[in-house]
Amino acid sequence: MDETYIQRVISGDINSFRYFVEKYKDLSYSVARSIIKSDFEAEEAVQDAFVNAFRNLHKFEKKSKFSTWLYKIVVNESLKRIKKKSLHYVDADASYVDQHQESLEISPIDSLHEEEQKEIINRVLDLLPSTESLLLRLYYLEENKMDEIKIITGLSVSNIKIILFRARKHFATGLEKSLKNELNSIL
Amino acid sequence: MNGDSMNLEQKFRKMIEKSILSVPDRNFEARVMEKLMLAHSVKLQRSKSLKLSWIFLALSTVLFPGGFLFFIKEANYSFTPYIDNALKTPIQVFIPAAVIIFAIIILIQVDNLLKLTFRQKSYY
Repeated sequence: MDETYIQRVISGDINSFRYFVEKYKDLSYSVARSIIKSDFEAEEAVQDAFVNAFRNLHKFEKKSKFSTWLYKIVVNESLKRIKKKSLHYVDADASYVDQHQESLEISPIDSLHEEEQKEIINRVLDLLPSTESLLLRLYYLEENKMDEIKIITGLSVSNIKIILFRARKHFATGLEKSLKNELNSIL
Repeated sequence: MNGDSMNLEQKFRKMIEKSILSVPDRNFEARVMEKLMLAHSVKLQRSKSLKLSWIFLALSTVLFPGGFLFFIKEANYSFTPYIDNALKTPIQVFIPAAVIIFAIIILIQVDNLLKLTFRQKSYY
């Protein structure tokens, strides 16, 4: 389906690009939001990424999925914006949470309402270093394969595996803490 | 991958799937499309200006030397008997110098326009 719309846009039908904006805006925003911890800046980065994708669509070589190519642009735009605006960016290596934890368990949050679950999960992801939350989203949301994540982030496969492993741990720990805090505030 | 880790992976997937964020601005699509339309109209305008630039460059490349030669020829015919011999050498130097300067200017313009044309073509 993407292929058809790519051809349409390249042949001059600009309105066909709306299809990509509609389809990928939320995932692109989630990706940008992993890197930039600000709603406004992340939204602006995604907007710039779409414009860039439109301008360079003829350069898309179809070696990867369109989404992979687009997310790469989103990641680059987000990093560019962080540099330009001197925003806060925490790389994965910069923080270590509970490195001694060997086993991995996720606290059950099923008892909470859907909206509460979403809020807590996003809060925990916000607290993680940018690369970790980015990799978690890329890996689990779009079910991107390692090679695709490699293209998007520019990281090596072994680095991705290490950061993902650490990210899962940090996420589980963060979730546990967050749920405890939530429980304490209720009691 | 054993059963436990598969189960854990599924739990993670289920949880992270809940982390999809919606773009806060409801007019996001409209804003993006507006920007694209603007980029497109700028491209069209640029393309039109580029065509005009090529036309004017071609016209000036033909008309200016033609006019200049005509002027020189006429001037030579009308004023030669009255021009002092001392002035003839500077005029003989001026004409080739003017031709060289003109050729350089034209080459620079052609180079700039070629660069602009190729950049224009590479933009979707």
